[in-house]
Amino acid sequence: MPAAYRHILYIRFPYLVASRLQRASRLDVPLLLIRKINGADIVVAGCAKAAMLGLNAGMRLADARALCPQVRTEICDPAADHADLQHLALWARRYSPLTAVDHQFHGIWLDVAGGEHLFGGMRGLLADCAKRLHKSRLRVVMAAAPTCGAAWALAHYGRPSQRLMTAVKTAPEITRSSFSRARLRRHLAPLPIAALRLNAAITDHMQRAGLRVIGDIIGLARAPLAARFGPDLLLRLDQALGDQDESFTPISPPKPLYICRRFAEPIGAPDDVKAMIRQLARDVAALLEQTGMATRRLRLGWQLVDGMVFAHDVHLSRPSRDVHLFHRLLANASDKINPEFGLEMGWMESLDCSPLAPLDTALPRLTIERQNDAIYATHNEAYASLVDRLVARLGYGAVVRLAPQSCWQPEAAQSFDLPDPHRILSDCGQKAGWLGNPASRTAPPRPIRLLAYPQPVDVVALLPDHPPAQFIWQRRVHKVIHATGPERIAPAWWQAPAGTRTRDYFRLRDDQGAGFWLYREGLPERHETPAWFLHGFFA
Amino acid sequence: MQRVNQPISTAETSGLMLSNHQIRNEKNKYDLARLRQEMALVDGHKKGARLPLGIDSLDQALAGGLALGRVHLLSGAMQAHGAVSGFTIALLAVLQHHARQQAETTSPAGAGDNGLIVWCPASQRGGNGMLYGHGLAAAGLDPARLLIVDTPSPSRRLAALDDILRTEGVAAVVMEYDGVQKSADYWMRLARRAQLAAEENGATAFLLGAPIGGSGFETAWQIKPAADLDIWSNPNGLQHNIWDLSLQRARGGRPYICRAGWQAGGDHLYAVDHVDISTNAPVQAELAIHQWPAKAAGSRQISAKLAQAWPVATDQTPPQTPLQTPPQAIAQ
Repeated sequence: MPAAYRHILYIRFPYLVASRLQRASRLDVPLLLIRKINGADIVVAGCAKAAMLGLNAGMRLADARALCPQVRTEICDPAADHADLQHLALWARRYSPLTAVDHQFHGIWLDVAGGEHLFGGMRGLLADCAKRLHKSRLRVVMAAAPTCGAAWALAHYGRPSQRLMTAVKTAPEITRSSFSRARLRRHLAPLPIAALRLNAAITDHMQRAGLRVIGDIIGLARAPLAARFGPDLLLRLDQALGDQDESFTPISPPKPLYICRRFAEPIGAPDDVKAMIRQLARDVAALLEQTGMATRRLRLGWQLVDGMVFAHDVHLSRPSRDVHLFHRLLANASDKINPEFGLEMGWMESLDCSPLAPLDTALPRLTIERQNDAIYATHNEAYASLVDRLVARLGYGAVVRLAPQSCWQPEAAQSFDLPDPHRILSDCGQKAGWLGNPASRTAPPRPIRLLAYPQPVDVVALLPDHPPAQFIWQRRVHKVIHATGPERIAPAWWQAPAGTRTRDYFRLRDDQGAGFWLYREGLPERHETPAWFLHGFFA
Repeated sequence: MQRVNQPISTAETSGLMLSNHQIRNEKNKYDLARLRQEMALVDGHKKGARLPLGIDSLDQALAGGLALGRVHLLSGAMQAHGAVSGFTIALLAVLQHHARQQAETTSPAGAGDNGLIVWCPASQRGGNGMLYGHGLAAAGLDPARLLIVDTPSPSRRLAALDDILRTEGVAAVVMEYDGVQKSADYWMRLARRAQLAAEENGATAFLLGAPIGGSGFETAWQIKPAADLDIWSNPNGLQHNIWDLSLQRARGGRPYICRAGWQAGGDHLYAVDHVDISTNAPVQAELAIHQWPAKAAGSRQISAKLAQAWPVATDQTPPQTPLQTPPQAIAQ
């Protein structure tokens, strides 16, 4: 019989998903997470408020709405839940190096044996853990017991007082004294059978047989139980009572892709700093190569002798682990370093990593089409590295591409996208979404340059609804010799702020021949006072 | 006598080593153009491709066309920035057309990649405005081919020029320097550095901005918009742009002034008869405004007017009223 001293803490997050979503929105209505099962929307989880209203998992959404019409629903996203739990389990490594995730029931295991005294005993550890989780607005139920099964059972089905007793008062006694099976039995006996982590079929089966709580089966003969309900039942029972050893697979934290150099003597000469950067870049590239990852952001950090810490980020347009690229991007990074009295430490970290398959390099291309593909690929590679270099030089967001938007407001009809290096030239020649077409005579004229903010101009027009006869822009008078228009563009009344007025656009040519795009805000026929603005330039 | 039979191909063949008689003989043998080419070779310039722009006299002044893989300076007044951008777009469109034709002749398999165009527009604070994709598409330049480098500092933008030019697969770079004040020496060095970078990949660079006292560029142009009511008053003429071009310097060529037109999406420029419009402009301006229909009674009339100006794009056959004087005819 394993009598080893173990101390398992189970933390259950009953409203994990709801608290994540509610933190984002802060709406004070009950929230339900639903999933479509056999064509019906079934509630799979909810927030605390929904639980108080009696909206439980397993209900149909229609029934839930009947109980509480103003309920808010979200589609459940298991991948995000997994990520959250993983994150929490990594966080819990502050209490113990052995933590694991219970994906099915939204909880995490911690084996805290031997580490409680660091937090002032089990009581202190629980208080500390609860305080920190409470700060991040997570509702938790915690239970501690000598076995995994018992901790799970108490966290899910134990009364609060029982959990507290086990966790705070009794459990240290258990651990301090010899292993007390009797005490464990006493705590588990009043819990329902479902607390043994059995599947629903066995639980139902036992309910029908009149076995409702764990106490009912503890004293029974084992052989008939195994024959009737299968071996699973006895295994779980033994695990909960500590007769059978049970362990979980602790998660391993992701290895940080991080290289650090500490120097025996502080360095300060520019050549040394450059050499340090090159070395760090080389080592990070090697580390990425080993792990099969590629990075989109490199962070170069350094610490001065007075303890000040600085960092400089380099963005890459696509994941890479190319050491030459790193060297190129970090070529000017030494200018950012001011080694006052010397650098004590330098490090490089790769962030935003993603797996990258090894590239097939220098395979001979045989056919002409393949050759074209190769040219295309090398060009795209060259463009991507150009984008990287420019972003490293000029800052994030300095390199953009124009993207059409389906909106008729001239300023909203175009957006600036960060270039996607894989598709820099793939969508050429389609002209998808762009309004103008040189072959079309019917497209409304659009300027080649548009002012981000229309500039007010003084206009003289013959009549209020006439095009301008002359206008003054940048203190110069432009006499209009040719005008086309108006093109009336109304604001999006359902989203524009109140007071946004309809515009009439005119394409004008002044006596020098320069083309301007002016608009008049406010309709004369509605007796609005017009205001004139310059918005763009024609060729 | 041995030396006479050798062609002049290197710089060391100087007049000092030949008698007067021999020089005369050489002059007869080598016409001026060939001598110029050889001088260019001595200067270290590879014989680059030339892009004919479509106007014969202009191409002659450019010694065969716009030199590709070089750095060109296109300047114009700040208030006429649209014209400078427009002329650049015209050059880029001609360039793209030329590249497409070349790709078709050299590789029938069809390498559709004509290269990327990197445009570094002026700071948006300067009142020049940002490039507008809908207008560019209408002018015949595919916005998907553009990479825009948007940074407010002209010096940092200019410093990145040769880096961009060195990138493989970049067809052209348009760099706006928003009238930054630099010494002539700076421009000389910039031109030289960019020139070396441009030669590597055959990318053509265009510098746009206010006139500067720089030298060392392959060509230097001054662009002014031109007013031509004959063309604009024609409903089909709206797609035509007219500029007064003044070619101030061209390596291997000569200065030249002309008025050129370009139809949106076209693959060549055309010459326009130079009519001085400034004297009668005010009269015509009045005329143009009087042609405008009288005050509209209501929105229905305005929409009718709109439909008249730009018929709705749904009809399959746009009104085909040909120009009374087609631009090609004007060219003659």
